Amino acid sequence: MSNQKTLIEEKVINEDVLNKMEIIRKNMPAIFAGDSESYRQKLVYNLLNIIRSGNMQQFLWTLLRHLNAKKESSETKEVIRVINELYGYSSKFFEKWAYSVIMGIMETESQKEEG
Amino acid sequence: MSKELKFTGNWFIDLGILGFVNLMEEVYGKEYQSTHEWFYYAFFIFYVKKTVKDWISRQGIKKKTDTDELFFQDKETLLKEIENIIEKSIKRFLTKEKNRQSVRNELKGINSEIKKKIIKTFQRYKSFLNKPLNNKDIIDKVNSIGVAVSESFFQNLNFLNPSKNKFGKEDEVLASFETMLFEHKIKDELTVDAFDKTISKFIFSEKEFPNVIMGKIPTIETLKGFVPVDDPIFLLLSFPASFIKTDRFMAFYTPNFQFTYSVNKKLKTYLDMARKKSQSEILKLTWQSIIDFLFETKAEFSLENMYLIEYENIIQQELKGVQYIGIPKLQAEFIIDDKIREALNQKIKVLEKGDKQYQWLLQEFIKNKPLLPIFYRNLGLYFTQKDSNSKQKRKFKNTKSLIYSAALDKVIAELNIKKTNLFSDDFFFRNKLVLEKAKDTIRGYFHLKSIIGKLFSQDSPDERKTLAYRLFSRLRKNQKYSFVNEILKALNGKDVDDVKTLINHIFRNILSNDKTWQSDAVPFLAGLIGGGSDE
Repeated sequence: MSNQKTLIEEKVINEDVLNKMEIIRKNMPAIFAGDSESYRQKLVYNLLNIIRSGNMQQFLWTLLRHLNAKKESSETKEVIRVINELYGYSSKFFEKWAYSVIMGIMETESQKEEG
Repeated sequence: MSKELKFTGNWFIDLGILGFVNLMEEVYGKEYQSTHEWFYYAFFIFYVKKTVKDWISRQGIKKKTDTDELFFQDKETLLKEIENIIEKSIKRFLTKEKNRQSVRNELKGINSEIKKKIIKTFQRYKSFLNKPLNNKDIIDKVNSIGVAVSESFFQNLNFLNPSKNKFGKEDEVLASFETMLFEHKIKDELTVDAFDKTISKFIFSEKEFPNVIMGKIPTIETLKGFVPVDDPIFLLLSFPASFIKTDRFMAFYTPNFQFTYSVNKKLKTYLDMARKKSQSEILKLTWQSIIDFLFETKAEFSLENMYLIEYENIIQQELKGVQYIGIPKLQAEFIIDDKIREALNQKIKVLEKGDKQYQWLLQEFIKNKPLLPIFYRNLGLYFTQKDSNSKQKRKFKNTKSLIYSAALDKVIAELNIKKTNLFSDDFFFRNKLVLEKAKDTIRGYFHLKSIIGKLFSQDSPDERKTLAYRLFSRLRKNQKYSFVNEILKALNGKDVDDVKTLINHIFRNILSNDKTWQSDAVPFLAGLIGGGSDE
């Protein structure tokens, strides 16, 4: 019975993580829309290197430093809230949501054009 | 009393029935009686014809001589003459009274007539003949053998054993067959009527029979109730006649007699037509004939269980390389689709214990094995092979098959993951839905591949290959995040509209997918090394 409960819990958590990844990805373009292309490319490059080293603290530090300048926007607030919640989950989800951040930044320009 | 020919559901007996029908039909056409005398005559006519045809086709001449063409013409004429001799003999047999002695006399007569004809034809080439028949030429062979029959499947039986079947011993050979056929005395040292390895390679021999303490060895008599012919020994002796020889011996089996008969017939016709073509052609045709029949009888086939039964050879009375390949209904549904079949009907070069070998995708697919592991080995070869000519930066040749394989692996794996309800609304349409899904996935992959091809078209072939190799090594080692990292790095700074499509795919099908992400990663590789659109 307890085993079954754990399985269900895990399923719920997994779905929650996926939803939150989606929220991050959707909000990133609006946050970085005002920045230049080369700024975003450099940031993406840096973040990719950091994930590769597996250093979650440094990833957060770098990301938050960049978000700090845009903390007034509602999208930034939403992303920070979600990351805060994800931070509470096991670190095994780190790569999943971290890559969602990067993908969101990489998708930025097209959203800006659409907007 | 003759019974209706029906399959029993036991493949071994059923292939015996098929062999029996093949054998009788070859000699008498559609109308025959299943009595011992009719079988006795047909058995020898079938094998004499088969054996001498084989000998004649294998017999060649050593040197290129002026008589070359004449030699082949003579062979053709000889084959026709033998056909005539046999036809006349059959007519004689049908009109005469049939008993053991009369059949034996007829067989002895025809045997010596054919042997004489062979000797007469080849005599003038005697000094040029090579020795393809156990170090003998055809004249020596004919002069040393009693009855001109050979069947490796039954070489252990007295009448076919080369040490017994000698010139001048025709009567003994036929008498030994008669005791077996009429009295079920298989071999002197065996229990009379014993149904063991001596008569069927697929079961234990009496000596090693495992439960001899618990019970008696089964007898041919015990089979009587199960089989649709008067005497089960007809089926046991006809068993090898159900197999078709390619580079191995194979028979297609499904518990429906008509279906099995038609597929095997078609298989044989195709193979006869392709006999002179390459080995790969023959393998292709094997599947082709099965698939053609599946296609013609779409409605019924899905009800049948289908098997290919194969063996490579018989060495020292042991069957080598026996394979029983079941064809699952789901896979059958896929290969009916022309495009899928065409993409899978390919041989893929792989490294097997240091040797280069080929694997047949369709065959592996039918065995319900994933196809991507084959491509991992194939791509391993592709990436390690050096480009000898810098002008010819080799593109990967099997891109289309690679994409199809990846997509099929994915939909079949997902089907297995989702399998929760034994019976649900889509139960009857499930395979159709999966097929549609596979086609969508394939289309999606080709689209992604073309985007990748476009995005990296400015890079040199070397750069593309290097990136592809890095992605491939992550894919093979199942390092998903490392793969994502590598591809995102490569896409950073590329055209945003295209990148958006790709990222959407990476996000949904790779990053969020732990089970089948490898398949979804394949279009990236294909776009880098495959080039061009070849859907």
